[in-house]
Amino acid sequence: MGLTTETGRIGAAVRAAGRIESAAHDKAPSIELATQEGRNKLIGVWLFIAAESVLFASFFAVYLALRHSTMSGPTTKELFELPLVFAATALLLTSSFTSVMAVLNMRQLKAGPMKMWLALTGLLGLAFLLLEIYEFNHYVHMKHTFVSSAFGTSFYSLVGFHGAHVTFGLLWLFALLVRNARRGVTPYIAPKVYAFSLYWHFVDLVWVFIFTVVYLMGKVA
Amino acid sequence: MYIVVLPAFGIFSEVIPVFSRKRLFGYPAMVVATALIAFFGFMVWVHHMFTVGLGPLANGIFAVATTIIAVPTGIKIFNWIFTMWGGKLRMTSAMHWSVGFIITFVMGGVTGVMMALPPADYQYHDTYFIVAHFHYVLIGGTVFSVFAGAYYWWPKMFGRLLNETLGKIHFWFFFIGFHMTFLIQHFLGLWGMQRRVFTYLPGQGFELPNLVSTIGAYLMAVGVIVFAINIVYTFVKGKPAPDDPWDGRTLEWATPTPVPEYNFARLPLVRGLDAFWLEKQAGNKTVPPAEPYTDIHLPNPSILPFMMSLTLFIAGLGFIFKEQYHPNFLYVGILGIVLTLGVMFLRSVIDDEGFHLHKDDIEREEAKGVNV
Repeated sequence: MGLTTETGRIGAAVRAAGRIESAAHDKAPSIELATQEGRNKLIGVWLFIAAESVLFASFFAVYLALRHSTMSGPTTKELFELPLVFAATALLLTSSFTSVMAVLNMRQLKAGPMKMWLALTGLLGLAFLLLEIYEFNHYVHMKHTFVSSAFGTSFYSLVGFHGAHVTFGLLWLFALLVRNARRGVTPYIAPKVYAFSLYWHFVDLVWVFIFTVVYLMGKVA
Repeated sequence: MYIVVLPAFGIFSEVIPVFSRKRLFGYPAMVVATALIAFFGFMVWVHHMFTVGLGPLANGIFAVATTIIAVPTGIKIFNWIFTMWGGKLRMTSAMHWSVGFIITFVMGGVTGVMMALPPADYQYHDTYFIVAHFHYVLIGGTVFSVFAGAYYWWPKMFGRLLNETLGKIHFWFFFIGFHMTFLIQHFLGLWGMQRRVFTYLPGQGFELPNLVSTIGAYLMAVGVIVFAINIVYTFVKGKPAPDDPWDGRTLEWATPTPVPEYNFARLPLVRGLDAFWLEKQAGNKTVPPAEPYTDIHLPNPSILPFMMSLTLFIAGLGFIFKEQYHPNFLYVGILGIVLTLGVMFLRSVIDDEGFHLHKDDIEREEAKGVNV
């Protein structure tokens, strides 16, 4: 029995919740919240994001504490070039927008446009990642490495960890596109796409903080 | 460290009320204390490195955080004691471990507050005093809780009661052995014995205390062997466990043993904390259902989550051994990560929509079963 026709206690709860909600908003819950499995999955993603926030907060704190300990190596002011970082920021923010478009199309059960927007999200993410690899390579040539100073370690820990998140997100997106290549939008697929989009927004949000705390503050400090 | 002990605290908060026949004293305070410990637990890590030279400000902040975290922990300790106060105590094996935990953990907590103060910590740092402290909190907290939980939930998990006599022998060997091993290490540390060095020079008076420590360690080992014997004995000859062997208070004891894969055929009606106990007080034998019989949707059994943790284990082992033994273990670590991603990919690609148990089958099962 497919999940679309789910019955039983969960189904009853969904119908009850749907009724309450439709009374309040005059509409049914969106497709990613249609099943208990979907809702559980998304609560899991939110908990994961909460834990990740703590992790990133720690890396930010370490970076703020150590960013001046350069061991007479290059400082933030000498290293960072804002045009490049601005391009990277623009790419990543746009990819967040395209992932929203994918979710909107998913809610209208349009599988084709959804996959198209997801693929675009992936391309933008990949472009961001390539820029970051170029940037890191450039820094290493300027003698700013993971082990050159406490600043280096904290910088690559924070920004590199974010880059690893982008990489993982791209792998995730690739897996989603492969598995859904021949499938339409169903209540089984929808939470998977939505979970990815939540994760992607989070990674994007972290970048906004990195852009501010690492790069902009690094330029004025 | 504190995060490690929070699940242990949860186990004791389950075990102590049942064997005191009282509800958990100060339940809301316990919840707030848990949240505070989890929160402050993130802000105490510098107390491991007071002596590295972070300066008085960092040391001061983390010293305050470390002493503050003792407050919610103290609230918990007092609440457990007040739960037992005036209760009808039953000293089962699980309860032995719980009472032993309170004594041991308080001793570890007291030394913890001592070393939360940086000027004093300079004296204790890297000595056996530290070793004694963290074994008191980690073994006295976490390991004791695992044993308490094992004796408490074994009948629900495996359908047989662990032998109580062997359980108490296990406890006393382990408890006495533990204190023999680690109490004297406080003094060894204060007398100047270094930690992280595998030996010490002769003629400093360390020989006899270390011998005492070693004897204690053997006693603990005997205790664990008794536990292993208990497990084997239980699987071979153990008494089949009733559904509710301890006169429990919480919902898991309202399920039949062995527990069906859907746990409750119908969602139970929960009228408050200690839901099962409330029903017993109201004269009911079971927790009343909150809904009619319906089909139950369940996930399919899957080996993939196990494979995921196994591959992560391989990765972790590889990265550790790379530092410890040979650089080539790096490739084992990378292989583990790649395999993990592979398993995650499989889990994503294979559709698993689960299955439904039909309401007629459930009704039939429940009718001939022990429950409801």
